[in-house]
Amino acid sequence: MNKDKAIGVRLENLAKAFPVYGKNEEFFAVDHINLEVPAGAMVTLLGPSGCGKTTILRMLAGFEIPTAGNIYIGDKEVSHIPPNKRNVGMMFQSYALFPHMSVHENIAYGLRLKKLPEEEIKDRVSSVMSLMQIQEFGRRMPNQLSGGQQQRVALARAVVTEPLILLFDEPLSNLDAKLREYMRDELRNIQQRVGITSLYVTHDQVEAMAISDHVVIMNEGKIEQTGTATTIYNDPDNAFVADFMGSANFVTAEIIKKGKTTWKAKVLGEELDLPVPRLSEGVSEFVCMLRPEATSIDKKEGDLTATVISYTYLGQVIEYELEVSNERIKMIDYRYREHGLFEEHTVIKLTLLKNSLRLLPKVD
Amino acid sequence: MLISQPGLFLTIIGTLFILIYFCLYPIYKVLMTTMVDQNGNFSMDTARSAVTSLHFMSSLINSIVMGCIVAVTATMVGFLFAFTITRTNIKFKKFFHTIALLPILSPPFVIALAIIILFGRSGVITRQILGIENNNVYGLTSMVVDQTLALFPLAYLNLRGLLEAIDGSVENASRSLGASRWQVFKSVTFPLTIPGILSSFLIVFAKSISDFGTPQVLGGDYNVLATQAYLQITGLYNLNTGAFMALSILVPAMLAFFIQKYWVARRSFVTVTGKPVGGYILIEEKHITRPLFALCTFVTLIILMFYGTVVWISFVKTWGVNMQFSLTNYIYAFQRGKKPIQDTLILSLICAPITAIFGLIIAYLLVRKEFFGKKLMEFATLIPFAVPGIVLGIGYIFAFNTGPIVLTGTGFIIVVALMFRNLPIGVETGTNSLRQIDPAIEEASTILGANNYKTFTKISLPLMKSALFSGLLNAFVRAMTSISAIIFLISVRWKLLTVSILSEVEQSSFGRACAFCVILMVIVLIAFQVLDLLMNRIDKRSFGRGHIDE
Repeated sequence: MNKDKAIGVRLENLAKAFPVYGKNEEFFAVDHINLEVPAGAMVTLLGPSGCGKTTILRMLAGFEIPTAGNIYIGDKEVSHIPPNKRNVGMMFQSYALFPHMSVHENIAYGLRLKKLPEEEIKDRVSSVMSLMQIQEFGRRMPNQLSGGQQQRVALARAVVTEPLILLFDEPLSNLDAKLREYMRDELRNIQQRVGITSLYVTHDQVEAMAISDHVVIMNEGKIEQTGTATTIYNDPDNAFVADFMGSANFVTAEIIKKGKTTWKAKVLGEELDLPVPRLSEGVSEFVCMLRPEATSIDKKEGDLTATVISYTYLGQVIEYELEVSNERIKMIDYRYREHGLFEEHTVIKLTLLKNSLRLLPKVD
Repeated sequence: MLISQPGLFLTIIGTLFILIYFCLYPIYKVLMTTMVDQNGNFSMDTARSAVTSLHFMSSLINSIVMGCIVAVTATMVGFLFAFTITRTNIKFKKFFHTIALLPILSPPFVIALAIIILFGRSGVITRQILGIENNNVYGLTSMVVDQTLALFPLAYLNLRGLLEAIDGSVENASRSLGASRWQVFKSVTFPLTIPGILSSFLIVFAKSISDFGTPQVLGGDYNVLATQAYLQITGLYNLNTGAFMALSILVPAMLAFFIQKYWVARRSFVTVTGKPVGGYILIEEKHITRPLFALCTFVTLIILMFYGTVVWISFVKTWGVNMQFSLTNYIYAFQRGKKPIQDTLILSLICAPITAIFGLIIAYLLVRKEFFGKKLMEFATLIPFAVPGIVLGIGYIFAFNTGPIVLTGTGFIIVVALMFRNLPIGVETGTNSLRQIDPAIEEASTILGANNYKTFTKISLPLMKSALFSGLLNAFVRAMTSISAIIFLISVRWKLLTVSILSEVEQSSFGRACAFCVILMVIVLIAFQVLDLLMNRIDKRSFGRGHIDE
């Protein structure tokens, strides 16, 4: 497979409702969403558990029938095609390797179902096995493999049939932290090499940022924001996205003047010119997002005066809780080795990295 | 969803149809027969004449009294075994476990026979050792002993599963908070097993009042409903009254069964998944383990004594007259009893695989698929198991005597009766084993292009291999040893071993009866071994290392 053959995915007004147990009503796990996945791209659906991301994936796979809307793989509407006829590859959270088959048989399974000649099956299995670097495990049973190896077998099994798209259902969540990081890069690598359009579901924001071309942030069945990792992290549309991607302080922003290119606002007692918020229509009150790492502190030098409330020593960094003009904020100090640790109640100076401040609609 | 999968749709419709026709329809026929007069009008005459007959009320009370006593004793013995095996460090656990399973795997008359031989009028113990003349062994006491030993395995298995499912850290927490062994038992272990104790009680109760073989052989003057119903039908040719009496067992039996299934089970604090949780610190204190060990040994010795007696008597020339070693009984059994042995084997061999596979298919549909009529399917599979065997038997006579399918007198009706009677066990084993298989494994197969049939045969079935094995074995053993469901269905053309045993017992030919029992047990043992071997073979074939050379 190569990138020219890759085709995109389009979700149109897609919805899935489940009956609420014991009540005569429905609950929309996926609430009429629209999404376009470009051909060959790796797109991550990111959100807290219960946000509907897995339901979308299962609808794409064909395990759930949409309540409303359309799913297009390429130009073809597929929502009523059964899963075994869809030609979609999927990697499961639990890997779902067939425990009674060897690695080789696991990978060959889909090809055998297609009734391909044994010779071709052999060739394709061995070439995908060398791509995944699992050549030597062909005769092993799944329970004789480590987590990372099982992962590769699962991926090999999913791609060997050359599916139109590839779905990943939190495939890294069963690995320990070190291996997870390693496999994350591997997955990205292989996806790039195979060039197959992929949808990836996770609740881990770091994983999402590292692995994907586009991140789709979901909450309560709806899409909150779609964009590249940098856009979403630096220019979130709302407080939910800001808070879900990393951590953020939200401090009161008193709007003084709404200009064309910038707005003047009073933040933590300082008057600042900030970028115009993207979603401002009908919003009367705003907050200012302040990333904890977009600040610095010092004993004497700085714009604002702050008092240390508490601190947590984390080795690489120190996390402080500060009080600045009657507001509590979190900040992360990367340079504590230079100026030492500030004890509780110490009065210090705080500087904000002004170009990373953003105005967001206030939510109650 | 179903419309797009015609194969699945047809399977579901077909299964539902079969279940309704063979599980619900016969019971409905019994109900109708007892409530309708000759002209087909609703009438309580049958009921009225049955209730006012001499034996009905006393039999009903007798049945219930016996059921309650046995439920208590069998649950106690079952708990003793389950607790001792799961919570102490005694030796010979495996042995005790095997002994506790023996009564399930053996024909119904072994214990009854042994009781008569040991304690009867010319009993080995009563007459020859204690010198008591004319001891009357028949009656409630003997039946309680018999049923306790025959039914405690049910309680044992139920409670053992529950005790193993209790998270050991709960008991350990109680220990570390300062509780003594006794306090742990009293305040943690026992309260957590109460639902299990209740459900064991109800299961044993239902089985006890439905039991036909024991009262038929050991009942004497103690009349119970199951034997009275049999007498009405075969002795007095009073089909309707007999049916009504059988039906009167059905009500308390079904009640007990469904309370157990839908109420007690829901109250449980512990979810029995089938996988032992473990983590308990086993009881080592000698003052606790020794009495428990002694009690288990006592029960074990009684069981062994009874089984030993049957084996011994089968090799004796004429019991009570000439006690010399002889093969007379076996020679008789293989000459005159050749046909029942053959017939039983043939019917059971046909029955077992169909029961096991059909059970797994139903389990698969119930666990993995959503469809209209699922509750009905679940209910229908339970019915033939929950109703007393003789009710099912009577139902099959009523249902298949006339009408579109006439089966009475054929071997087929016996196979069908046995199959549906034992189907729930196959479904249950299949359900438990499926719940332990990650559904994603089947989804993985589907998304790789397999249809439902391929996924079932290539993935689910191989993974349910051990369930298939126990389903096959169970179905075979139960087909070989059942009596109550088929007592009305036998004919001149098809004779069954259990019926032969019963008629030998009724003619007081105990030696021959014992020989038949031993033959039956040997067949079951051989079946066990063969299946074991077969399964290991299949194991190597389908679980072997890839057949393609890389």
